[in-house]
Amino acid sequence: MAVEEVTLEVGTPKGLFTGTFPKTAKIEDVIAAAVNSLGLDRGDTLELVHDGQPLTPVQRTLVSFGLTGTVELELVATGSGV
Amino acid sequence: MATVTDLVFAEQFGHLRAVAKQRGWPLKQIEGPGFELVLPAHDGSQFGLNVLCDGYPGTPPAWRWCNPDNGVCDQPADIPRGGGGYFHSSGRICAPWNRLAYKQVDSNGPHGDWELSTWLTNPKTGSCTTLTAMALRMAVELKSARYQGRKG
Repeated sequence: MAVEEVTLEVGTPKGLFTGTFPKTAKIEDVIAAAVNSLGLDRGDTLELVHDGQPLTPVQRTLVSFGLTGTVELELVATGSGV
Repeated sequence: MATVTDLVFAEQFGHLRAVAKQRGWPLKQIEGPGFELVLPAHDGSQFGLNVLCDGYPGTPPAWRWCNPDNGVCDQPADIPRGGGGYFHSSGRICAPWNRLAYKQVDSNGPHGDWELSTWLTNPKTGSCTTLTAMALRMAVELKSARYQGRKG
């Protein structure tokens, strides 16, 4: 894998999504790719999380969060504990 | 003949199995239908969940914290505490997608103001409407700074 790319293994509400993205890809692009690939609900009801930390704002790039190599993420549905 | 519950559970449990396998989360299907799942917390400890899905998706699953070694449920030492709302002081996961959050189902349920039959449209459910979505939410909460150790 080129160092300019990041492989993401994403747990989603509909199972696993795996993809390789340029390190300059935006978080919102990753969410959109998973949504389109798995037929998930609208992307604005989902949040990408790494090690318990939300990757926001979604206009930031993968590399700006220090994500390199192969990374496990969670695509978490919105909703709240109450 | 397969019921709606059987069909929906089979599809969604398959999704969960794929994620659990990739993450190394112990997952076992049980009768009900349902499953037992073990999730890691950010301090390296582990928490077990027993999840019964009878009647799902007409009614939400019943999520219960259990000891992953001996299967005993609802013991304070096996229940996480913290902020964010999900780790309720009652020991129940406080969300409309947990059947045990409803006082009319469980006396420890924090909410007598929710209707079980409308859990999918409860605004607090959001899009957390699949078994994997619910499991991921708990996994993220346990990995986040909102998790603050064990209840007892």
